[in-house]
Amino acid sequence: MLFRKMLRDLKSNIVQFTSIFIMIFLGIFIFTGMHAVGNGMDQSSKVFYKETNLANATIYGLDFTKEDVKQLESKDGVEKVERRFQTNASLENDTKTTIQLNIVESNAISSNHLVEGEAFQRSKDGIWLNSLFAKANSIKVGDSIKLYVQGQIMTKRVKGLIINPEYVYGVKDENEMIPDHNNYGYAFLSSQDIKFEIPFNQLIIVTDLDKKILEDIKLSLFKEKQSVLVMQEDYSSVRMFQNEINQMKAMETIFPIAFLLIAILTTLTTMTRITVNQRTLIGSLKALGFSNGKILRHYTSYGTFIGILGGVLGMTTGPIILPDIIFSFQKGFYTLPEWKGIIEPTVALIVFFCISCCGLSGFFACRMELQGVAADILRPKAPKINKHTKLEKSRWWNLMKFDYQWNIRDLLRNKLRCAVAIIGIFGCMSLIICAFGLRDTVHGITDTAYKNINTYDTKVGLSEKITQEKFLEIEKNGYRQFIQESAIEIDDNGEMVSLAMTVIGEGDYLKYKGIDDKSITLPNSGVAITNKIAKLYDLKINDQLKWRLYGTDKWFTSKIMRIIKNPVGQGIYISEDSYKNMNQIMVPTAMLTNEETSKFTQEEFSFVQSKDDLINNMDVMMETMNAMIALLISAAVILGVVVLYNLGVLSFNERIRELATLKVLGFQYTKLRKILQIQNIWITLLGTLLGVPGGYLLLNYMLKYMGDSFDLSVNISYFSYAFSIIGTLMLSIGVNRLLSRKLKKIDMVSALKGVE
Amino acid sequence: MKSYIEFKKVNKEYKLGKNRFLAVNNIDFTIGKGEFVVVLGPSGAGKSTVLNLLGGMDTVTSGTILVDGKDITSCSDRELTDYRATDVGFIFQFYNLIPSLTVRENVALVKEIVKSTLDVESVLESVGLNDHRFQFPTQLSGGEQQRVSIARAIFKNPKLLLCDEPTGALDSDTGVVILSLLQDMSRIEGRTVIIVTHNAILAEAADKVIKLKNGKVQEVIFNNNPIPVNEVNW
Repeated sequence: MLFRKMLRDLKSNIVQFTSIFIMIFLGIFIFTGMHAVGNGMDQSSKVFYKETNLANATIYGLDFTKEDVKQLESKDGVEKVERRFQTNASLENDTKTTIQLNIVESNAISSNHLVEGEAFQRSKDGIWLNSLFAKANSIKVGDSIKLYVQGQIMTKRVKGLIINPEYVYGVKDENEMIPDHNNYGYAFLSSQDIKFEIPFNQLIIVTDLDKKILEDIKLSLFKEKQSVLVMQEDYSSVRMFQNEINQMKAMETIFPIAFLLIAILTTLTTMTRITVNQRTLIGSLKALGFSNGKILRHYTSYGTFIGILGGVLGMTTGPIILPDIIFSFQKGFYTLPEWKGIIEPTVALIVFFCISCCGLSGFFACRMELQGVAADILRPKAPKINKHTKLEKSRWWNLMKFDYQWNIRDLLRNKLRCAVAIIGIFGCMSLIICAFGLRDTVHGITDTAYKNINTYDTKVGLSEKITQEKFLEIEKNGYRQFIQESAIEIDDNGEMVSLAMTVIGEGDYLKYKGIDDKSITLPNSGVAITNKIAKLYDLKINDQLKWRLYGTDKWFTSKIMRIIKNPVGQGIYISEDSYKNMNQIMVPTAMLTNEETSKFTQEEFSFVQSKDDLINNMDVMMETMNAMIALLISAAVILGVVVLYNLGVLSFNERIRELATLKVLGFQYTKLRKILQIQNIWITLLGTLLGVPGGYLLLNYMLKYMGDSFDLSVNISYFSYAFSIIGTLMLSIGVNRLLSRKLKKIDMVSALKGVE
Repeated sequence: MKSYIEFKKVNKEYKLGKNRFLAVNNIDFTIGKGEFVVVLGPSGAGKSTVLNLLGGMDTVTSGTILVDGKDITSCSDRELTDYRATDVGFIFQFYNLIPSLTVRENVALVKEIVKSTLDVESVLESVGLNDHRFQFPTQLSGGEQQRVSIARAIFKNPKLLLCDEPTGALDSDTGVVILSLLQDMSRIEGRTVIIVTHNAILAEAADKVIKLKNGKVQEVIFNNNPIPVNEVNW
């Protein structure tokens, strides 16, 4: 019977309980959905890595022999080693493309996942091409493709389309943020299929040894060779994807908090009102012989019931719908054979906890009313004694208009309700600011990175085999700026950290700026580092940086002269002069120019990258991102509307008698609406003001998880601020209009008739 | 005496689900300016409905009500609100004060809607509440709260005071004080005061008694020698 009473009470408080339901639903929906995303990505990548036996480490070097493999395999803890030769090629008919060719002996380590066609076999002739590149360039299984490889043309039949675990995030270089499947791909060939002697330049290793031990083994085996060890977690693909997973996991908790907090607080305010209104009823139940426990359980059931409803619905839909949306965005960046949202059973515990909180708020509300014997409870509660606050004693209180006096007292007397409303608006505003800020920030990257810093149009890779004569010819052929991009290691208090170094030759295509946004020229001595690197390794101007070129033994100690702000391309920048002063000769690996990409088709160029393509890719990504932003904003609007409307109804119902009195006294409808509006506007203004820093911090938190290769600082335009503030205020006014329609429906006669 | 208020063939029908019932059935009566009128009748006779119609809180189903020559049954919602604001003072059985405003503020809030009001302090003085000005309604006794309600009603200097069971929630001693206060409003200040009650004893104090039964006027009694309320034998 009590269950039926509960259902009827729910019905008569439909607005409150609907809003609680929506909040719980959204909170749990986002929480379980984001959890499914983060966890699903984590699990799917692990399955992929395991299925394909992703190498635990790679040693880069030159001319590895069969003997090297045997020696390395004989070490304790090293399970398996394979040789690989990696080089760049391009399609013969489209030299803008870059295909990273992998010539492998068995493909037992970091093996391919087959998408279409035949699986890789060492004895088979042919090429296995990355499926996304194939699709973008309309290449099918069975087609013959012509490749430019090291100045020669190679014709191969496509045997299968594959994806490889080392290319989950596959980009040409550091400046490229989004994979461009049109222009960059990879392919695998069997070493048996190659007629010439292969200069294997990689050893891929399956092992469970850590970096230190492997480094020692490497040193002992390949003393006379230049070699570099890179661990799996430092593969750019693995690292980027891990960053992404961390980012998703960070959002899993931060976003639903607002919704669940509001749900719980709303339950508390609603249940308090219900139990206060049903005080005599509680007394009657007690008088009838219901035990305290039974009554408490009854009032606990309200929140629990709604909580279970919202929780179960959110938990069943969130992990299905949200991964779909997020993954469609992720697929632009990362390639996995399978994207699946997966939830851990522990999530149910957290959902259970939220439902319990809702139930408990009813429990506590009821317990307040249950104190004392039945006869006490049956008597109406002594009315709250009104006290004069300090404010009222001040001189200007009496100068205030009645609307203000009334609303201020109402707020002071309903602090919880007022706090919930402020938190709700705060959450709404934070989400909106964060959504717009995200857009501005990412927009800002394109501008800063591709318009302000890198002012060239085309970047051309120079092959290692370029001759001195060729080089001089290229130099003379137009305005070019040469750069050398190398990997280095820095000594971070004894720990080796690998970083990128760029030596910058004469020219003015690269325009760097400092943290204060002032232009910076690279000094003639010492080095410049990016702001992100400075923060990560706690470096300051005038600090000494100890570094060496990857795979060499010679340590340099350089003074840090400048700190550069760069959203992409973190690392160390040295001018050619400064590099010379260290007795080093710059070996250009790429050049920057304003000429068109089609000019650079000869073999001496290892790749060609057009900046327009980079910008276009960013724009495409922005479009997908707009969907996420729309999602964020809709969530924010729902939060705002639900909170304001719900609390508006609550306060309206509490004051209905007073409003009816005012109506009888002759207050016009517009005047009453204004009185009701004031309170909402105050709350909205306060929530909005708090929400501005809130949104800033939320965005900052999100950007922190973007990974080490990006240095994104919060960038929110004045327009976004203005738009968010005006939007939130409009929302508040709109909700108030909706509420004031109830004013017209107040029936003065029945509202004033009797006290219940 | 020229009639100040005139009810002409007034009907008020309520719908309760499928049933309709006439709360007020073809009522005619007049009230002169400055009269102290008591509307008597058992509960359900339609007394409160008459008062609500006269106060512009409810609208008639048919018929006309003239107040000072103005037909309030043809007023718009806005005009009715203005009418309530300027012409009518209400006094309810349950006071209907704003609990979050002090005594003084409860009275002064009328200033928000009416331009020409009396002086707050002197009105509070006249109902004997000067000492309680800064207290909240919940800190007062029932009689004191009803006085606040009277102060609020007369503050705007209305010609018409409508009282719905003003002593219904008070003990009889306090009730007498309140009623004589209301009688003075008519006798001394010349306002038209209409009191709805089921307490027949009050009839002796009224200028005119309108007896209602089942929504109809049963009888109108003119009292040529009304006695002061505090001399009525309670």
